[in-house]
Amino acid sequence: MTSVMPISKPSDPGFADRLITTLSKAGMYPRDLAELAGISQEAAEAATRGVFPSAPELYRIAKALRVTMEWLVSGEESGTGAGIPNFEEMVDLQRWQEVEEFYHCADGLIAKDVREAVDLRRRLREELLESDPSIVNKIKRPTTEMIAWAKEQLFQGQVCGIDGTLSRSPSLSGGRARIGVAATTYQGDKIQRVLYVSYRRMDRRRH
Amino acid sequence: MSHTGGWIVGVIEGSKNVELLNAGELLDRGEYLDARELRVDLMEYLRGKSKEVFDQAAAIVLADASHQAMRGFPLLLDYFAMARCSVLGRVRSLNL
Repeated sequence: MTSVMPISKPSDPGFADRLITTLSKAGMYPRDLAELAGISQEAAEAATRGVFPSAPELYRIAKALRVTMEWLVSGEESGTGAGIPNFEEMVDLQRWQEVEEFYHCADGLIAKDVREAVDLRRRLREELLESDPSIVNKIKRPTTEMIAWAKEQLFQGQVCGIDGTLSRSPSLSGGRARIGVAATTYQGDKIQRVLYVSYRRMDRRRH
Repeated sequence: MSHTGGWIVGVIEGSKNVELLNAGELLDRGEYLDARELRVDLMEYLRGKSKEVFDQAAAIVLADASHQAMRGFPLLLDYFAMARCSVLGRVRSLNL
């Protein structure tokens, strides 16, 4: 009789313990490790379950956590921090960042979101144009000459932006503003604002 | 806005029409969409304006929108006037 052993990735509970301990001391979750080490979240989560990652992934994990690969795998080699960092080591574990560095990273994360949004919009455009080719003929783009003419009109004060609001604010004179209209124009490189207000007078209450 | 003795009246307004919103999403930078005749929405404001006038108005909106980074927001025609009016609407008292 032949028995077949299931094939699975080698795992070691000790490896998982050391990894989890290091992560918890650093206040990190597998997703943080994935981001910091540049590996997939699945690989990071599998590692915390004791599944050995690939050699390149192990290298990245060890480098990100500033411990040695040997210590992570065997627990025998005393690497930097030995898995349980003290305060100084924890501070040195890149959990603290200069403000500029933080914003640099934040920019990267935001840029990733923006890229995804741009890609999504691009796909939406392609799908919509494909589903209704007649839209293509309705999309226009002003000529360079037309844009130049439009800017000339704008900066010569020939174009007026107007918006209105309904206000119920009482005035000092007893009137009550009803409609306010603001008009704005460019005068060269400056904004000129004009304000129009219509109002109705309210009877003052007698006390 | 006066041009060749005439006036262009443009109205910038939001929409809840899903098809129009999707149409707006598909536009690339510097593009505009002639979705339907203006007189459908602006019958009482327009007096037989030609297609050329619509294109001129669109060029002005796009030229104005190029002054700020946010996509599709005309700076003068929308933002400044609206900002001024929002201040007006919040004031406690007006010295009329």
